[in-house]
Amino acid sequence: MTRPLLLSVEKVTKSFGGLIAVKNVDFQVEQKEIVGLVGPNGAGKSTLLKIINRFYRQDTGTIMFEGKDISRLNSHQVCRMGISGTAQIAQAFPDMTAIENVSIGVLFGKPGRTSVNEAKKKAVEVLRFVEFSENKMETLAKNLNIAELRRVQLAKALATDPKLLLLDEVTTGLGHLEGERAIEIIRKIRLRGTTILMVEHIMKVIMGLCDKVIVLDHGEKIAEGTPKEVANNEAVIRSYLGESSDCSK
Amino acid sequence: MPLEISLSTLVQIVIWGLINGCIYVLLASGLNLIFGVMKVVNFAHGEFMILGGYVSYWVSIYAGLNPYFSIFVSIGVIGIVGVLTERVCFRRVLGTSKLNEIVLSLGLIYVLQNAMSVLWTDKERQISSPFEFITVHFEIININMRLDLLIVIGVTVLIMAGFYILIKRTKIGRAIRATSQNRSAAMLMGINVEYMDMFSFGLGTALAATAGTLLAILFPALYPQAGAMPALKAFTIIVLGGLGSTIGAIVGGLAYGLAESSAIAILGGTWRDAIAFAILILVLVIRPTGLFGEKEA
Amino acid sequence: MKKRTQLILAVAIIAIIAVSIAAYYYLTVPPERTIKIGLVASLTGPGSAEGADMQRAAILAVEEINAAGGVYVSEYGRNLTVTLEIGDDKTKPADGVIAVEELIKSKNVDVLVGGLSSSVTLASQVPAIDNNVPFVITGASTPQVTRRTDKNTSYMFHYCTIIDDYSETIVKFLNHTVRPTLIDEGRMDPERNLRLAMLVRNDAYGIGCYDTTVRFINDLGLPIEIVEYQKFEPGATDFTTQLTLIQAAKPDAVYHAGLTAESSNLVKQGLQNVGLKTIYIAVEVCQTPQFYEILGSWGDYQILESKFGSKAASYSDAVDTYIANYMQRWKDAQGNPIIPGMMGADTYDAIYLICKAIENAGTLDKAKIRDEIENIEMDQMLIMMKNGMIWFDQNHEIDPISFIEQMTWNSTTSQLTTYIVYPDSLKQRDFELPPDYENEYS
Ligand SMILES: Nc1ncnc2c1ncn2[C@@H]1O[C@H](COP(=O)(O)OP(=O)(O)O)[C@@H](O)[C@H]1O
Ligand SMILES: [Mg+2]
Repeated sequence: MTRPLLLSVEKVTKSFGGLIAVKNVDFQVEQKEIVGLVGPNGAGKSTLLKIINRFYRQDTGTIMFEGKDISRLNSHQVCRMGISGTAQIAQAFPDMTAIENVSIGVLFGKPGRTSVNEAKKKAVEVLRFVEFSENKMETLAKNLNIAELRRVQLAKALATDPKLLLLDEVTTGLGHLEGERAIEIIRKIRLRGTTILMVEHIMKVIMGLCDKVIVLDHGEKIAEGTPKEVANNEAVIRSYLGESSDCSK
Repeated sequence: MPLEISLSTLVQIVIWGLINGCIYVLLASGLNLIFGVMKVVNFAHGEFMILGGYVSYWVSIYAGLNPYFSIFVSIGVIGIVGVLTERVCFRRVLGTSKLNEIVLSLGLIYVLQNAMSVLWTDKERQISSPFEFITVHFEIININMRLDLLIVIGVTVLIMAGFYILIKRTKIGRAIRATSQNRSAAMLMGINVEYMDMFSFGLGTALAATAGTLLAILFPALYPQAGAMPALKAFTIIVLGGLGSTIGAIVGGLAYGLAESSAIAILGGTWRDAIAFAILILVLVIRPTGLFGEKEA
Repeated sequence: MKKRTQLILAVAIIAIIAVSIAAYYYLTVPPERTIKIGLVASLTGPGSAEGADMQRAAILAVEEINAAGGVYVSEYGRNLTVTLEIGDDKTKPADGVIAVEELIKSKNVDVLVGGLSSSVTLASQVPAIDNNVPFVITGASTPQVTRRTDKNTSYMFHYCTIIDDYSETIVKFLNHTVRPTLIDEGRMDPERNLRLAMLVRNDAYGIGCYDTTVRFINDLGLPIEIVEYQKFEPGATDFTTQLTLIQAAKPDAVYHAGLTAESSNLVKQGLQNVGLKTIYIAVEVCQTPQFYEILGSWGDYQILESKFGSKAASYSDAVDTYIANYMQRWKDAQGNPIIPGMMGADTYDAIYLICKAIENAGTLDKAKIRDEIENIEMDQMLIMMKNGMIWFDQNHEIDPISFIEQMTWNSTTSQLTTYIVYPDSLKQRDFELPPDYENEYS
């Protein structure tokens, strides 16, 4: 079955100084699809996500979102168009409470006007949705632990009502139990019909969640297909075995 | 220096410290706002202050407006000048290198000073207040106070209350705080950080313009070069209060004003400006994060 | 293009070139020798009010001398006109040195005149000393300009009052006039000393005023004590804390030594902000239009030590004529006449004395001019001298008369005028205490 196209990445290249982090990458994400982005450390996964959310400018190539060219837009613009996500290193506003952090997303991350009070209500709702502990709602972000910060970050992203959610290693660094709960939340998001593009190290997670997997190595796309196809792809096995054993766990 | 200072003398010294402190609070809050959002030290902040004083001076002379009302004109004019300065100058160099930002704001000092020299000459000026001859008597502490002093305190309280509410309660205040706390997270959350830069720069210079007007009502301190020292003091104050802390700038400004008048009283008038450097060095050595700053940035 | 047009164009170009060459030669013909006087003045910075006055006075003197035919110099067998070259010392020592070097090296001045601030002039006089250019100093009040021992000051002349003169006159006035008035009015116990507070600029001039005051009180054994001594930084605009401390010391009078803006503002702040209702005594340095302008009605009953009373009721014909000419010549942007100041008067006199010395020398040789300045003897002009004559003593200093003026606010004209209240020989009115005067006894 084919669904309408949401995101289309066309021949995107990005280098940092002499290092080419993303090289001529092409792929597409359809609506309501969950796409996994995998590859060894340093493959360029995070960089690719940051090009899509316009944190970085690509050197060449085009990015289309809902049929519109977003290659020249800024982060705040694409956020309002419906692209939002979490970063590998959790980002928050340290001197704001959890609720305030999330209400920033409600206030500024989507079109339309929202009052400060409405934003607060919505923020609490979203925080509950990501199962954030009730008694930490008014705690300053700088006093939260990593797992809590991750949830705040996810809530912030969800608060903007994204059409495309970009998730970068949601489970990395979390304990087993916390990781399981994070995956549960992603399933809940999926049920709401949000399209997700996620970077994940743990193959089991990808296998259980994704409709499609894209494999990057040294900035290049080396494989694309259903989780099963990709797991049996020779190039993928070679690249994983040759690299660090990160992905075997 | 007589050690047996009477109560009313002491009260007067404290009052003078606080009044000077009011001006420093306004100046430092603007500098702090700009630093918080843009992470740029606007070395030309003192020049915006003096420029603001001159605008009020002009408006009060040529339009015959009460100088306390001309503050609003000055806020508008200097706010716009600030926004344009950000848009035309700082936007281009922001994030290229710290050195570029420093050179740019140092350069602005000379451009603004010379422009002011051309427009208003080097003569010291003072804005004359319609309440110049009115004094208020406080029976309890047996002190006569110029009405203007009370108005200056009142205006500062009003402006700072407005500023505080803007930062803490309004939508744009949240965007400002978000941008200063984490610029990249802010822009990923849909905040137009470049717009925030412009807005904060304009608001910061508008606060400086208020400080300049009040200063020029109290003292003959309006001449093109007069901004250099106050700007340095404002910088000391935000280091003292903790970079980026709104409350820190307020408490720091008042504390600095008190420190300055006590330094004059205890050590002599020649210490007036030296005290800024002394405090700066002391704070940097003992508590580099300032009174209200975080241990770890 | 037609042939004819081309021809016209060619002729036009040749004509333009020819005219340019002719003009070039015409304009670069060496100009006629004139007497070049270099004025060193603070046209910018904290001394700019005084500097502007010096500049106006110098221009006026030069115009008058030239209008009268110039100066006869026998070496040239005819009258030479005087040209004035002006150097701005920006009220800063380093810029003063640059200004004087430029006057000497590129403007080739024959003589220098001016020099306002003591610290600036001590620096800016060095190139004049090193190049043996006679310099008549008309502003700086430190005696060091002609008495310093690290340099040969034989080309330096000091045509103005020195710090010692200010303090001597003020201390004598306090003892002779203020103290008896306070006693008469029951404001002071005759047994006690007069309580004097001092508020001075933290530089050679201000501190010098304090030191000389202490010295004169002791040397003359006067019943005056200094109950509070405060300083402020050059260019200060806020004096309130110092004034509050002075108020706490309950003085009978305040002697303040600042430049125009500082002194006028501190009086205003003392009365307006601090409520220190006393007698404020300013030094002649402040004798500028700006002083009266800033003070406005706050100057009522206040005191100024001076040797040139620009606002005083008539006391000398020469001064009256000068003031009239000056106000005729100089108007502000609104067309109102500008009132002359004291440093300008010094400078005006000095330019006349320089021209007289050149005439006596009969040459523009700097050593000869120096000798003639040293031996000058001419009738006093604007500045009154103790023996009525302009002459320099062995320290290259003059012997002027200084006096005390009291200001009065005229509410109908909205102007301050002054009357001489000391010494008795010049007195126009009796000294009066301000109606709201307060001291220990109030
Ligand atoms: N801001 C940056 N500046 C320079 N090099 C970078 C930057 N971000 C990433 N890189 C480099 O680009 C490559 C890809 O990084 P990244 O996208 O973070 O990989 P991944 O997320 O797949 O582990 C790495 O070699 C990394 O060192
Ligand atoms: Mg990564």
